[in-house]
Amino acid sequence: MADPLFGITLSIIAFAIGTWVRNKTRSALANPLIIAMALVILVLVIFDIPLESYEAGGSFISFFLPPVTAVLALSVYRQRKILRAYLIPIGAGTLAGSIVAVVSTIFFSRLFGLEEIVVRSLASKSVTAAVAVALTDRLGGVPALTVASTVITGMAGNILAPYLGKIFGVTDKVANGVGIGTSSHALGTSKALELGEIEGSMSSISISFSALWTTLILAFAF
Amino acid sequence: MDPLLQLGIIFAFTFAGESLSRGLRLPIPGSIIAMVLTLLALLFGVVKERHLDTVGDYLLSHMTFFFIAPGVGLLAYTDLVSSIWLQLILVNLISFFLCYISASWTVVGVNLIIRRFRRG
Repeated sequence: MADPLFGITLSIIAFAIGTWVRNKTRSALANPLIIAMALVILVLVIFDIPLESYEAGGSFISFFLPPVTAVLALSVYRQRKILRAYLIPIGAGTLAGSIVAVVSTIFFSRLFGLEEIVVRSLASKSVTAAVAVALTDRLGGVPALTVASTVITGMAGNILAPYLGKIFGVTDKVANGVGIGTSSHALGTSKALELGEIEGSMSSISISFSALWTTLILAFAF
Repeated sequence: MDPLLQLGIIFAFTFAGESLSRGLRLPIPGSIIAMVLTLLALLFGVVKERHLDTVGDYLLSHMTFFFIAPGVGLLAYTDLVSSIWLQLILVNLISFFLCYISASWTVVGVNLIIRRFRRG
């Protein structure tokens, strides 16, 4: 059996390099997770190391995903005051966005002829990765495809967030923030925080709201 | 509070969520039930922020790190991904735009209704 320390150490080093590149370039395209994933895959391919040897350590890392999801409660709890003030618009906006995200993802995946297992892996991809991966596990999809898709979607939000309001005629800051957070979770939110305080906090609250709505939608849709 | 104890509390909530999901055969993943349980415990004052914050904030600020392992799993699907990567990106972008439009315009609409309701 392979030593778990190999996979864990490799992941930490790869993530450190990814974070360093992001800090150096300050570009949304230099996503630390994508860089780290690419580096680990590169090392495994170049040195001809079987994926199982990596996963001996990788499973220790994945073990932390459920507790990480649980502590998302802390960020919801800290936003309870602003949440109370905007409960109805946030609740309605994130519900509409979540339904459209799930339905359009499934519809276009099928339209483009993607296999059922891929459709199941993408259905949850609009929400924060911790929840998306848990949902994919339950639906019997491929978590790796979900992670890749949540990052692609998040990067789109991160890059486009400053322009979305203008393109789609959304002048209201609350609406813009809810739109960004619902459609592109934490990656979009980090850009929404730069747009302004209201956009940032609305986007941030919408991450957990849309995650809960999407969980309920998928619980009854599949 | 001692970080080790905080980790223990977080694990306890996670375990409770996973057990409930499995035991009651709920269609909702255990980790999400764990999040709801933790939130309820915070709201009702069963646990305080200081019982979770050191370890909780550490986990939250390093959240992306924990997705490296599932992400590297893509390596097992290279044939699949190389044949569908364009469709994957397109589906992601289309649903991203539709999601943004529907969420933001719903907020605009709901705000209008609320304002009219308050005036009327």
